[in-house]
Amino acid sequence: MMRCQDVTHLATDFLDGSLPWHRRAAFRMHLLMCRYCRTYLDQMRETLRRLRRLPPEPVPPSTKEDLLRQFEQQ
Amino acid sequence: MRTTGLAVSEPGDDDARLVERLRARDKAAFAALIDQHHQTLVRLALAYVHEEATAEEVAQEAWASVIKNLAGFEGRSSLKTWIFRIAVNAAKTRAAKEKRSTPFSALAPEEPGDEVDPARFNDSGMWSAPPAAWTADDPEKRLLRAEAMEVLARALDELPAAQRTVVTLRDVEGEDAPTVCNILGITESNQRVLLHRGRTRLRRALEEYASERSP
Repeated sequence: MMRCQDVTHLATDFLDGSLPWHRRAAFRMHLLMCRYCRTYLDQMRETLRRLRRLPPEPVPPSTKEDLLRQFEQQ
Repeated sequence: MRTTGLAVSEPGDDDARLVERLRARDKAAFAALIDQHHQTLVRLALAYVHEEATAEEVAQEAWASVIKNLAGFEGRSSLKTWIFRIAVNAAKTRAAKEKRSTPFSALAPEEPGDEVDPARFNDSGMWSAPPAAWTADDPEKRLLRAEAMEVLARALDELPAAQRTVVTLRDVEGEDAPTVCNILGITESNQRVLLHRGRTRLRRALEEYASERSP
């Protein structure tokens, strides 16, 4: 029987689809029965969604100007 | 898709079109490319060189090299993957000059924070202090979301270098696992461990933020 702590250890492998089928089945079974682990996994998914939307930090203007100049001169 | 509004990172047709524009010296295309990936290049460099200013220099060297070698880009990987490889090579060269060992040569032993605090589980491994759902159904929702993004960005910056690098490539830039292993020269299992530790820390940073918001 998979424990909650195992679920937190295996969350990344589960989301990446890299768990062997029997572990994946046990993981899913645990999720069906445990709302706390469902919450945990939802939060992990939310974290990933936000990471994908993270806006890039502005490039220092002098760096950008310098690179654009190099680009033009090449 | 990132926020620059220009699809600069999609493989395939878009990539080919972008390369064409770059070879035609389209300044706007190059500017968008810098905007989108410069920070990732700095983060990649920071995994090898430690000083922020040096990492900036390495990123600039990498861009210079991208400009110079654009004609030789064969499209065997996506353009961004090719750029990341150039940056890693530039960082390794610099690290070798500074006689620094690469951070990926050995996997660091697990540290507190790499997993969920064991104190949150009982003796049978079941939650004793379970995560509370993040509710977002209040008028402040939008503001909170923006604030949470800042929390996340800060937490990402504060990750141990190897974790930050893998999370940035996988989850921010959207590279797949084999590509990340290839760019960084690490094994599949090391990639997984670093990704897992980094993600675990980032979820916790958001959890701590959420719990501060709701007493």
